[in-house]
Amino acid sequence: MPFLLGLVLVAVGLYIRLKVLETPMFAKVVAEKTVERMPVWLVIRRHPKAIILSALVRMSEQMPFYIVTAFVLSYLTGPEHGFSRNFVLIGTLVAAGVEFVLVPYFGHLSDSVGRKKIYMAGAAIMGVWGFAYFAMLDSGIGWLVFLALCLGLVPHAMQYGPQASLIAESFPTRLRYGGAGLGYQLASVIAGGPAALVATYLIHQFGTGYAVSVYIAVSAVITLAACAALTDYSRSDIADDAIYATRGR
Amino acid sequence: MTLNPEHAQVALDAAGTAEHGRQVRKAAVASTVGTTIEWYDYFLYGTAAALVFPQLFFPNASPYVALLSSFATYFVGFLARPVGAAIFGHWGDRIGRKVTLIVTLLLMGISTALIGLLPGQASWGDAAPIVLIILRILQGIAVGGEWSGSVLLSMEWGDQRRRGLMGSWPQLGVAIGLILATGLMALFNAIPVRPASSVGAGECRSCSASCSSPSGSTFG
Repeated sequence: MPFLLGLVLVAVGLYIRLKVLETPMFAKVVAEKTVERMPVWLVIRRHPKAIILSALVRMSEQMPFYIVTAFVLSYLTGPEHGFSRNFVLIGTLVAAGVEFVLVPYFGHLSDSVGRKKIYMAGAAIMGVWGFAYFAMLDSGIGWLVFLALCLGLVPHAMQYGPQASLIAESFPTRLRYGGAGLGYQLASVIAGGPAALVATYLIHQFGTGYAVSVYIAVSAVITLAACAALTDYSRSDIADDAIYATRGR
Repeated sequence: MTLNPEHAQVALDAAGTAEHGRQVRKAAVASTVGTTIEWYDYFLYGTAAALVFPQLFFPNASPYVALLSSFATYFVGFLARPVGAAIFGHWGDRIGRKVTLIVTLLLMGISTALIGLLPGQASWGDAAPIVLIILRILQGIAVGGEWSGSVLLSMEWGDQRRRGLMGSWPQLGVAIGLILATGLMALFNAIPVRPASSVGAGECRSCSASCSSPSGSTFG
């Protein structure tokens, strides 16, 4: 059944995608005949800094995401805490609902306040939240644990909402698909990929959830530094390649 | 091969009209569906990798080695993602966002369907885990090419003041995928199930949802 639902989603997706038009910004690149022959090669050579910063900026977004949605399940259902699986699943379900509302909200907010400001606020809160989160999980008080589960993704949403535009805007239209994709996906290698292994190791080594809090705090520092180094294009005309020529590197 | 200039002109002409508004909404939905599938599958595969695949594909290994092998197939999918970003990034910037996104979605759908239909080691022998790994790589490549295009499809419509909001729609895929997968798991927790080893992988996905913790997805 879950598998079938996946196939239904694919069919719906195909149906809708066949009916959409090409985006006007890419259409403009085609109309002006500025399509590159080797766009990926070119974006790696011309915008390596933007690609690497895009990957680093995801540290305190992608890594804590796995802690809050996956790692917490084995943490809370283990013998030390002894919560039921459904207790954790329902808490995670509420967290996903909160995320569902907050992601577009913070995306929208970044249009008026600026991407970097929202993103960096989210990263800073995440760095502190890691300690509060594990303090609540370890409190032994049922409702407090549940509250931690429900609020788990709030600082994640603050980063994830503006993130797509923050990363995508760092590249000119004719190199954007490759540049944004490379930066975003490379994060899996440094942030998301090792998250579970490192967290499991930290708990094993230090015997306390606060070790993971420190891990989250360190990731927040990395994100803050990377984000500070990124250029905020939220108020620029990103269809105009000239704005990238001057500060592309 | 590149985008037909006439089609490009249609897209440019639509700017500012009511049709433009309709297109923008359609693009937002089209992009969000893709990331939803990606994340939904991600959460389910993690569960299956932890609970069902070890017996199904690596029955002759010790449980520990079988689990590690199973997680290895999972991790391989992640290593394939930057590769997918490069391959589809090339085409996305050459022939356009729309066509590329149809290809990534098709590839994602076909590889996921085949993983679901794949028989276990018992009927296919050693070929089964090898085919599983190949399909997993294909799926990772498709997913790797999907995100960037989804975001651009939603974002590149020219409205300066709403780009942050438009770009956040495909990001909702995480929340919707998590709600669907976690909801199903919580639901199936209430229903009794057959032993996983007696059914195909597709069936096993439903079993895994019922009898598992998605601790496997910690291997993201």
